[in-house]
Amino acid sequence: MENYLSTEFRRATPLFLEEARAKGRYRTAQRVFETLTPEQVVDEVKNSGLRGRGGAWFPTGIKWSFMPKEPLKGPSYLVINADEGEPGTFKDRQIMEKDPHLLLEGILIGSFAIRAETAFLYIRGEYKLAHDTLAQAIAELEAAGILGDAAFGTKRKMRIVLHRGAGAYICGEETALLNSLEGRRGEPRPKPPFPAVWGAFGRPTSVNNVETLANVPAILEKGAAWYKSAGTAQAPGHLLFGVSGAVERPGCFELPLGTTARELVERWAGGVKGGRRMKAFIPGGASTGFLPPDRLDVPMDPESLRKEGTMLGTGGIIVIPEGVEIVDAARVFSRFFRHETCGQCSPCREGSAWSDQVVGRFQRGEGRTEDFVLLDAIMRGSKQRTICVFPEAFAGPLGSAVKHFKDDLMAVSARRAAADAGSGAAAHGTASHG
Amino acid sequence: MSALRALPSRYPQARGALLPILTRLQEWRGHLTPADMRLAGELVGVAAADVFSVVTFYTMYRQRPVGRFPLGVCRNIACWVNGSEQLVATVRETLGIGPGETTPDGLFSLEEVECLGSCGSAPCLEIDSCYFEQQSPVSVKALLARLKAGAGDAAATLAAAHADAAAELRRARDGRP
Amino acid sequence: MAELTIDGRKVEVAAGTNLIEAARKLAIDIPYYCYHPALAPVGSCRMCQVEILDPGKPPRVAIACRTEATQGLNVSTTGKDCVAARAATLEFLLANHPLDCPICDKAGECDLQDFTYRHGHGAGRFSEPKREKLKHELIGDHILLDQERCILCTRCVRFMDEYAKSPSLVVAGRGDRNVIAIFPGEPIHSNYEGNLADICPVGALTLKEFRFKSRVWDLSSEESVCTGCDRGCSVLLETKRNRLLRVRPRVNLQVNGHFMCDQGRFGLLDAANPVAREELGWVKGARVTAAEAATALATTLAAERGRWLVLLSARLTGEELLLATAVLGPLAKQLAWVPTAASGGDDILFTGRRAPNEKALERLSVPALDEAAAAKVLAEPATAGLLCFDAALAARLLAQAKGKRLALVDVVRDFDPAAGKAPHGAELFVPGTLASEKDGTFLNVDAVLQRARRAQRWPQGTVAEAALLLQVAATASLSVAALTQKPDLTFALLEALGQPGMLLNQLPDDGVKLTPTAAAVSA
Repeated sequence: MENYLSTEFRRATPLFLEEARAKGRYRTAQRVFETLTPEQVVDEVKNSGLRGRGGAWFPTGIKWSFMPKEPLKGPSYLVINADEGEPGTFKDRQIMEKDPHLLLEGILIGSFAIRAETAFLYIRGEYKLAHDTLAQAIAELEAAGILGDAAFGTKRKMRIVLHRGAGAYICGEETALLNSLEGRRGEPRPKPPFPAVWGAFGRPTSVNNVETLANVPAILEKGAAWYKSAGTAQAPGHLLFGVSGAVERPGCFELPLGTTARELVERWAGGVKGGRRMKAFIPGGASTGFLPPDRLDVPMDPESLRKEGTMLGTGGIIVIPEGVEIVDAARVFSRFFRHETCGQCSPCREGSAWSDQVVGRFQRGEGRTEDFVLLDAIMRGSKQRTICVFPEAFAGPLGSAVKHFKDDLMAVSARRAAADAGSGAAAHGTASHG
Repeated sequence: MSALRALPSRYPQARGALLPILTRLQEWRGHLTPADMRLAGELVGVAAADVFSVVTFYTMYRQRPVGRFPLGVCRNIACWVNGSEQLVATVRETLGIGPGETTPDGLFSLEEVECLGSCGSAPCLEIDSCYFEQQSPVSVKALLARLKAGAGDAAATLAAAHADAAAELRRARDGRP
Repeated sequence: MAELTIDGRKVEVAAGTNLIEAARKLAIDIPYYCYHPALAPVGSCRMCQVEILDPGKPPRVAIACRTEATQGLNVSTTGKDCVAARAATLEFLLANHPLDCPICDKAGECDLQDFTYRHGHGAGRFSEPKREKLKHELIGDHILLDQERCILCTRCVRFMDEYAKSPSLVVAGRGDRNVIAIFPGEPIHSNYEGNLADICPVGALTLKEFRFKSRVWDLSSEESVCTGCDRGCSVLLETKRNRLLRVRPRVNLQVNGHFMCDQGRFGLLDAANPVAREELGWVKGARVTAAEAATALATTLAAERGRWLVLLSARLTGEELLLATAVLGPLAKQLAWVPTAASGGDDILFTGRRAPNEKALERLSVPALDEAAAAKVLAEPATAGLLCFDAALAARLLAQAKGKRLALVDVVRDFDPAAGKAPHGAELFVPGTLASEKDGTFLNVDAVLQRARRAQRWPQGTVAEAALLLQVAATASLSVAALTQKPDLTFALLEALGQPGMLLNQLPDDGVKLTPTAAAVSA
């Protein structure tokens, strides 16, 4: 299958409307608006097997089928999750900065499918360039009458409201995002009710990731059968993989789901930087935790990674080289999660901070064997015990570090304790402590 | 101000405009004062204490003054593996400030921030959400010097430096995403 | 309705009832912090975890506050997963909780202490430096905030917003930097601030009026009725060595719900321990025993039958009012009462009428006079004087009708006998008693009759109002057998109010709602 997501990613300037239409963009959306029913769109997307690319991998067609049908008792909304914040993930940004109309066309078709006349595009506050690019692209659509009171000249209204966040990783959680959109603290909501019943501003809402929606125009143009010709049986299509960390050519690569991590790291990203060996790799963004290098042949799809005891997540591989200690990498993550927990639920608020303190002690050479029992208790006491799955996220690196690198953690701690005792000064390498 | 008043009507409930209004108010001074929070509350019909609660939740809202060029260095995993700590050290050597501090002349302040979404072009330094990617101690030193020299027209200097940095990034990466 | 099973026992509840309330019906206490029956549930504390037993599936841990009872639901509060989950929540909450128990007012009634004892696993493993936050900061007129002790249940935030309609408390920060806070420089100003100390499950919000005054297990607690206005909130009066140290609301779903206002809570506290209270009587400028003054008053009224204006007070209990109408009615030139105007009432609890028993006076058909009319009657030549049970009213009327004689029966404070003058210049003064010193009833604005239990002892030698009235009756050879032959005065009162009789100690804890009178129905 030829690439359909990243065709514009090497441009110097974004693909704006005139050039986009010359390439055939919006023909599909127009056909959808003029000739199809929402049910037909939902069915096609269901049949395609498209799954959400925000990290949860929930089938998009099924999510859309939860939305109310006629007769509507009030507005439904599409909300686009452009709060890309998972460390190791930088793919949605490419779409928004280089090919905004790819996303916007997907938004139009998705809104049509769920009978929404308004879409809220929630973009993380830090993505100023992407925001400004999208603002320009949306203005183009309004000027062209594609957005407005008569989208594509039909009787349907269509409006996209661009909305900037203000710096909070947790707003990537769909119900936290909804609270943030409403002008509140970005705290996740208890479920039920689910957004399809009670979403943005109390209305039925579907929250979809940027890359997910970017898949939609191609599916409607070329059909579900075409889409299923790449990827795996349970996860068809292409994914915008990321490879970063200690590699020669970090970047974003469009490849079929099921491509192995080895192929991504060695063939596409040029292998570990400077010819070093790999200490560990993270398969799909921070929450997916550490895997040892001998797992590098794992196919990058949701089912294969679940078998490895982890997740595909956002498909952002991060390579940790030899020379970097796992405890220091783990501390980068524990500090991150402690900073980003919303703090509503007792186990997560306390557990994320507590585990960060414990990892910090290992960094300083004060690790104890009973700490592994403690960390296990912290994770078991908070996973599936909170309003959202943040504990599952902070337990990713923590649990995997203990599972695969326990001896390493104790050895490094002992070595640093000895070094401190010997030199009286911190003799550690590239770690941040305290 | 009229631009602010127009925002609530874009949303089904006025409160939806709170973050956009706060973001715009902060652009004025670089931080938010209690008066700013009261004003934002009046514009969307929310109690001042509630606005305060929202402001303190989000990392990008500041209640204390920052430098004219507020530097943010990503400290998360890909940037950290690729030398973000050296960038922080460079700032410390060059300007004499560490995270949470501002230079006496008020030109620069430094924060360590979490993942900016620049992992493929790490390490990243941002200034008011303008990304300077694939930085090194050498490039950071040059950037700081350039900003300091053009601090009289901070916005223009920043924009020009950013444009040049983006062009350099393109060149270095051969346009690869 | 839905019938479900909890710990093997069946219970039927209204559809939509949450599992905490369903379990409560079976006297099963599921522990909780963020949940409160008067507030919308949020599900953040994770204390109320129970297990849902779906047939053929492993047990599923769920929070009881946001799980609705459905037909056939099978719940366990004792399964090992939920027991472990609750113990984990407590270990997390205790991690950064300061070791303040020895100096914390909440000790002995603290949900963190109590749940840890009942549901904790007994061995906290936190050994890192504890987080430091703001301590003992006054954030309103009454409440001290200790951010370190706070477990962030957010009851206080939601209470101020949803109930007190004054959203002045918020959560500020994110994650483990979360604190409860006010908008900088804007403390709480609300008539419901005191409730914060009650709803806070721990010692994060405490009353400055109670700080370090007593350990709660040293307090004697009596169920009573607030006399600050005619809402008559059900309260607990808590004393130590006869000093009223604390007033708290009792739950009464037909009167005040779960709360009370500050005007009542702190008003009672101020009123109940009168400084420099006059405990002796006065007769014609001489200080005498209360008994001597009572005798003098009884003699005067009997001898000067028909010449005194008698004004009853809504501070008196229903039983005292009933007795007063029977005894003083025949003896007075005119028997009446002066209604108070409502001022400052809100739509929540406080009615603004600072007199607890006006409805009883109305329903006993005691004639009402406004102050100007009362002053006119007092000024008439044929009126010898005023017998009044309210010192402030007496002072205002005597100022308008100078030279008239005053017989006063009330609690008088800040009194200096060395000045040589009787309270308010009264010819006859018998020291009265506080509502907290009596057993009796009050009838509130919605016609709910409630029992106030005596919580304090009156001073030695006091002749309380009821005894005084019986002595007046005896001296004047008036028979009150019609009342005293009833099983008790409360029984007589209820009958006089047109209700079936009931003894004082048969009154239910949340009072009895009187049926409307014919007059009220036609009004």
